[in-house]
Amino acid sequence: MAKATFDQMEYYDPQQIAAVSHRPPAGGWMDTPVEFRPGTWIYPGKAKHLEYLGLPNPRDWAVTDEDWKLPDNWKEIVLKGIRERLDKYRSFKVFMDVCVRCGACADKCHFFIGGGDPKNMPVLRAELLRSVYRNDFTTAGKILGRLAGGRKLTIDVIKEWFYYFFQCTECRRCSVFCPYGIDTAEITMMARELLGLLGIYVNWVIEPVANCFRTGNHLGIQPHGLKDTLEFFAEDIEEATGVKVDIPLNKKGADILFVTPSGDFLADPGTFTCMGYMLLFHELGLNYTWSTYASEGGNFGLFTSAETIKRLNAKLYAEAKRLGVKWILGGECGHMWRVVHQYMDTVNGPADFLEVPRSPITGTVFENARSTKVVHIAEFTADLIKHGKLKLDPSRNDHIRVTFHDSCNPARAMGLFEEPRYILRHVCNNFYEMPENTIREQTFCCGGGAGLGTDENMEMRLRGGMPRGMAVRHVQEKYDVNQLCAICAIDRATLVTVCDFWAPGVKVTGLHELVANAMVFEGENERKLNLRLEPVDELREEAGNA
Amino acid sequence: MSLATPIAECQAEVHGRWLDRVMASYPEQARPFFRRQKNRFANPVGQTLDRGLRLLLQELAGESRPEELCRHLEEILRVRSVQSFTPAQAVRFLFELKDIVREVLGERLADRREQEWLGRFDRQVDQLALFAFDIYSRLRERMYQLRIAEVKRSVSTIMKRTGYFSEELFAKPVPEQKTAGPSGAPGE
Repeated sequence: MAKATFDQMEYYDPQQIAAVSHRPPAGGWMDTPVEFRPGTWIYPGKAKHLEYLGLPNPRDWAVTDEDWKLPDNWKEIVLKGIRERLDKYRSFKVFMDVCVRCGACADKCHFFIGGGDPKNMPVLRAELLRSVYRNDFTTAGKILGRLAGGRKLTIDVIKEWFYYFFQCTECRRCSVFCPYGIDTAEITMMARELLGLLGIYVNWVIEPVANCFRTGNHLGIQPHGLKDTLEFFAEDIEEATGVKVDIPLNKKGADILFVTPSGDFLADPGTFTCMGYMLLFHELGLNYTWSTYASEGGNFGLFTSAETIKRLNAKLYAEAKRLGVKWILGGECGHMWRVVHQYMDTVNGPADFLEVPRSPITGTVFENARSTKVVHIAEFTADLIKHGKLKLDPSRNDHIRVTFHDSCNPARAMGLFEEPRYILRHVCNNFYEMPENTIREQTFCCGGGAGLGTDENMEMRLRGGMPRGMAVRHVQEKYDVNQLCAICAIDRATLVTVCDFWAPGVKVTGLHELVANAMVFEGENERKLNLRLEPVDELREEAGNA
Repeated sequence: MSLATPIAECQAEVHGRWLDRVMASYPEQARPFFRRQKNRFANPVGQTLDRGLRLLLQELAGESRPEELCRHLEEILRVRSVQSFTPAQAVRFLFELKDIVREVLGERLADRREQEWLGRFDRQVDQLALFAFDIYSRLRERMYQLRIAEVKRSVSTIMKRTGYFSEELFAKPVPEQKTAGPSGAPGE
């Protein structure tokens, strides 16, 4: 029987209206179709973006439509796609076969923790794909079907994949606990690739991908727009600090190409972190350059397909080669570092034409970046501080009581735990850690990673952001923490909302915003304003009274 | 108005049964985790509900201060407002308290004095439900306010440069409305 909806009288039956039945239907999870509750899913990719990228089946459609306008041979396409990927990626084959359903990952996903939907248990989310694999690609499944845990591929299964694989932020917290080392994010990546073969994408991913392919950054900022933006920042920097910074743009022969997520050009509070970079480089007298062509650190290809990762990432090396720089410095981005650390070298490397990164200020050689030639700004700045190259007055940040959110990818995909903390301790006097099971390799996602950071799925995001939010709330109550520092552009956008909901009163900041606010610059003014152009005296007074 | 007797004597049992009922609103496969994992950072839902219901009962058994009741309710509803419930489903657990108290107290409710107490208790639960209505609506409203603020923040540079920038929207977090107190709710 069809469920009554809001506009039907039956919906208001007093016996039924508040009842919640979670008794599993007779057939179990395999037969339970998805209910597309508003606020939990993301708008589909628009045809024009698919066309721009040459992706299959471009059409305009809605998630709530009965007919998703799939190609007639959709089933054949998906099964062929699975076959190709099983042959191409040994990891995918192993991840499909090796899971013993021990459940170690089950309660580690922030979406499951926040909502209790069993299909958000990483093991069961993977099973959504694995069941089809068993049915069509294993001998046992071909003969025994259901008895061997297999199920047939149907349109409902495709819709379920769309729903749940876009409720995975590829944060890889569950993978930390898997005794077999199954990288659940890679299962999500495979499922998304398969959906992509049918033209099923989310717009919040595929529009940035199309933008980046066209203009060099996710937000579609064109060269003159980027120049304007940085000049605009320079004006604010001068007002705040009295320092006039230069903006080297597409400068041939620079030592270093600097690349940061484009969110930092447009969205507060990332913009203040961007100003922080500009000030730092100016003070060091670094021979670096921005690029209007490689103007994106992030790579939404990671949320699309391996080919798209490669297409977008290639711009970085192409631009480094064109400008003749020695190496690349990367800003405070999240998934950029998963791409750089785990995929870049394979898809576009090795970058033999670049030099092994060496800090021109301290002489430190970044051996860890020997192959990719890309250094994280936190490594760069921590090294500067270690060598006493920055003049810092941490008391300038005394009104800030800060906690540090380990962004999933820098933490779990490159093991960057200590450098940001080392910097924080040198630029702030009041730094407090969140509970141990919510930081470092066990850090909780913001709920908006891997292309989920849009606004139409806000309920789902706040649900997924709950574990992080509750930990922030704890340090707010215990230590009066009033700022959360994060080294990821998605974090800086989405955690503002998460904090406003779960821990109102805690602001979000980037690491290099704090660095610049604590730095003593040559020829600086009285520093009455911070980079947000807020009067520091008033902030101190507020903090003192709190 | 104090409801110290007779609920004070059987708080633990009422709490246990109440938590069971609330847990029944979650999928079967999630309940063992929500019930058993005691670390509140690993299990914010289970622990918030456990603690929230306990504090609500304590307050009901004690002074029943409206502002305290609202505070505990808000903790619970903040969690339930982002989960897959309709508004009615989200607050249904409050009405279930009436049944639970009757189940637990059973025969002890025979005499007139206890019956009068039960009448007062039922009205108290109705009052709680009204608070919950306010709080739940406010939390959902807040979710949409935050959604709007986020969209605007995502293009803050453009808004600043075109003169549409508003300090109120960006410089400070979205203002928290006053917690629904007794004055805001009818039925007092």
